[in-house]
Amino acid sequence: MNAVNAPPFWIARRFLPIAAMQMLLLPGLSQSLGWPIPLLVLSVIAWRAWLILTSTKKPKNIQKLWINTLVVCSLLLWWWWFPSKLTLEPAVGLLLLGTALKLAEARHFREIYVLIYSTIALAASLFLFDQSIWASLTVVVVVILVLLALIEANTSIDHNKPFIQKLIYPVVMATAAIPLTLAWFLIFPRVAPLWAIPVVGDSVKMGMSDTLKPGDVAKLSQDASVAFRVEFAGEPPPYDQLYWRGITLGDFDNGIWRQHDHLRNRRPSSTGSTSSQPSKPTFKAEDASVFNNYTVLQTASQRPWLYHLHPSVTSDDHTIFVADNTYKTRWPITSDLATQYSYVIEVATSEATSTSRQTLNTAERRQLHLESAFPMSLNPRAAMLIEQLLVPDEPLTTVQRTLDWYRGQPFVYTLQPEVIAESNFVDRFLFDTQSGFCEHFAYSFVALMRLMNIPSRIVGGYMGGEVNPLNGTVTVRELDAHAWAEVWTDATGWIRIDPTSTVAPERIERGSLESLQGTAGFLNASPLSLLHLRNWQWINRLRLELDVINYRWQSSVMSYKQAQQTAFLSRLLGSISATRILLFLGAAITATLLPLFFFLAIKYAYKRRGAKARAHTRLTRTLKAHGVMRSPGETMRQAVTRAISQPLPTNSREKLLSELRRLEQEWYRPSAT
Amino acid sequence: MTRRIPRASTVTLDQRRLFIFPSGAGMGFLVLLLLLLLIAINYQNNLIYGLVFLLATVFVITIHLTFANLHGLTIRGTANECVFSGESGSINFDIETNTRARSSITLRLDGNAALLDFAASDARVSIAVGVTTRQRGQFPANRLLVETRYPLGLVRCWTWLDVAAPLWVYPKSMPTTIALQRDLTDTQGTSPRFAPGGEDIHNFREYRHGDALRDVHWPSVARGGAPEIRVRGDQVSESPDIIDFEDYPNTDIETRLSWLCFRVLNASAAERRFLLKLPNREIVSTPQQDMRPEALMALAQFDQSEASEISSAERVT
Repeated sequence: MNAVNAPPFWIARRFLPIAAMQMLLLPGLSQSLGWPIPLLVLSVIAWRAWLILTSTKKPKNIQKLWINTLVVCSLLLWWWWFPSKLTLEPAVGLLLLGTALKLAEARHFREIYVLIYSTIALAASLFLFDQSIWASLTVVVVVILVLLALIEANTSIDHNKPFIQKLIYPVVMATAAIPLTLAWFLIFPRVAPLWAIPVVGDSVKMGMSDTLKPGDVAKLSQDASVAFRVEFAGEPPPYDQLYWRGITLGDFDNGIWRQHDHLRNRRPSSTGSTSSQPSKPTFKAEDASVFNNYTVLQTASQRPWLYHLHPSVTSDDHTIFVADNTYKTRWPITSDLATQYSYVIEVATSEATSTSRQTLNTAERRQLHLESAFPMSLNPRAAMLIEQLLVPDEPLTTVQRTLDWYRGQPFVYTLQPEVIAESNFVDRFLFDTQSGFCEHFAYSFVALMRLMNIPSRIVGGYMGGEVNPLNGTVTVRELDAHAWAEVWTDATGWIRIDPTSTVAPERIERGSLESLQGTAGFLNASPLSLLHLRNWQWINRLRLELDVINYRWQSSVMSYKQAQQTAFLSRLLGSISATRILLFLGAAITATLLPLFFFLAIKYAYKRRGAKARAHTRLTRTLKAHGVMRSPGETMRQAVTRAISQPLPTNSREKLLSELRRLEQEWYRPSAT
Repeated sequence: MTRRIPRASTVTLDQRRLFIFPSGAGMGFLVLLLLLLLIAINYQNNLIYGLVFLLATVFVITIHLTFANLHGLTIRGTANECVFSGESGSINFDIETNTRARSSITLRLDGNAALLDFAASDARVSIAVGVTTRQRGQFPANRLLVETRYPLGLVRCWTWLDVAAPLWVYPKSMPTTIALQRDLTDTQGTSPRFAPGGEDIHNFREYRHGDALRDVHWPSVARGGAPEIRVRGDQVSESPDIIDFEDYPNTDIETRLSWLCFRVLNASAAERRFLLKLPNREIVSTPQQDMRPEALMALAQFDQSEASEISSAERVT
């Protein structure tokens, strides 16, 4: 409003920081929105920025037509690009398009606020998809640009300062804001979600889905992004025991394995445990069991399952125990989440193990029955095979014989197997193509077991991970995704069987990173990953260092939830009470405002000194021009008096006097009345 | 308002005088923050929490910065130049800062705005807010609105000050449309204008001590009356224009004053002596001592009720 009288070009320049912030956000957003919309947005912003920089003015009617065309085009693009409109990405895409188009047509000064606010919303939505340290740095730069844009918008005079100098004030403000921001962050109570939220679409969900059909895991093994990081309190278990369970898939239907409905459809209840829920298994210390405590820092997978070693127990509030011995959260994991588990290495008392030796009730019997269902007629050749494998009433022997059978066949472990589209997948895989990877083996193995009426299921999760030598954490990536099988016997309960190990033991012993390096299709989706350069010593070292930083970021900032908050605050403040929190907040406000005003005062004093010096130099120069040199001990006023006592033209006399006045004003302010 | 910020010629802005509240844009900003906070809660996203808290802190900071932009400023109303009614005039202020650089302060007065920006080297700034006058008399200046939204525009800090020095507005000068009653009678009567230096006698007056004997009108003395002096023509030609408020009895006051103003300006421009007669005062102006500003000011300050009070008081005595 203050700029009513400003020339239009000058106003237009104020839109430049906004163009810059939107451009900054584009790379991050394009990771989840796909490239077409960010590309369109980029061209629109670039066009507008070019118009501003060259101060070109398009004829108004052409511009209007052009904008309208753009609006229609981008809406069509949006409609075509997002098939389902109810997830999060279309909403963010719409916001992005709207902001860019608004920028393209904005001409009124007041619109700058709408633009800035929607850009802030965009920056926040970047965090919904990407919570890395890099995304955070991007948003910090965006915030500084927001401050710059706001200051520019509210400065009535264009000081024509260079850009870097204009940045000083915003940077100072943002820096000064750190203490109070930190205080808010630490003390703001973390509450449970207030209502159900739209989740992101499948393209952004990570890790195992709740269905499995051949080819799914291969897609994951092209992706080097981190699924979760694990920190063990003690020594990590042996590498070939690092089976991170996530989900069980026991319902076979039409060529696709799914999670059983009764496991999936449990309504999330905010009240906590309900009667229908099985209670979490607990192991008490007096059981003399041996534990290895570990913390899993899961990144936002947008899915509810929690990955953990089996058997593990946890007492974290956000976890729900599911009947298939898995844990999940009440809500999809939308941001990094830390869960603490105790891995049971050795169970001392036989009674506590699990359901295995207890008498099963009818519901559990029925469940086991469900886990044996597989259509007999689909795979005639497999049906013939089982006759030679099955040892009646000795399931363990049968399992062993089946694994031996796998070993005896010329199976090939590959990420790019021949695609099998027919419904007799098991027959085709076992006898014809004989090439595949974990999910093929798990699928066919479970199918064989079920044909022999042995309850079994596929388990989806991860296997292995990379142990960072610098801090001992295990980083598990998407490419570590794995599928294996579990078999029930009355004697043992559910036991883990990994048919992949029969064919590709190196996958189990050394992990996918080591064993798959260089194979076709591996890491295809992450062409820029530093993992490609693992063999370069110093790059690998750098990569591991960055991993440590990321781990610190994730474990300290991202997973600061209710439990961590309570623990941290009581450590910081001694105890959590209203007075102490208020005192803490007050201290933070002081720590924010005091340095800021101190800085402003210093800056002003510095500039004032500059003004004094300038006045001094100017007067000295004028005196010199009139042949008067100030002698030591003589004040300026005396020198000027001496100068004007000479015969001088009126205007130079005036000049001397006015410069003297100016000097005195600078030096002896504010006594001037 | 009058109690909180009473009239004064100099005001230093302090806590008591300053008002501060989120601007429209600031309200929008707070709504946005609330929205983002809800998103942060529902998605359990610590980074969005962080963004919200950073922006909220920026808001807290800007409250203080905006306040500091006005706090400690000294504003003084300085003398204003008088103008004729209908002309645009200006109301002047001196603004002085003591400790800080200030930016983008708006002064508003009756819909007229002036912008104020202290570079670091300025300790004092004189600023004129232009106004358009419509009526004779003291310009009815409202309170001066001093406001700022600097630096972020999210918070508005303002105050209403009554510091303006009076701006006097002269009547609009308008040519008279009715001939003077006195002029008409004068031309019929025996009061012609005499060329300066003439020897003709055109008037008599009472003898005063020290008058020349040859000017004594002896026949009247012979008749036994008081001695009279013959007044020569060249002296009488300097008689002043009499510009009298009562010249136009049937006209409304403002028009009368406008006509008087016209005649004052004419007389002053022609370097003639004039006598401005208002009900409550008289002003005599000579070419040696030009009383034009005083006369115009008297016209500007003329107050009907005061004048009628005085005339009625005279009538009573």
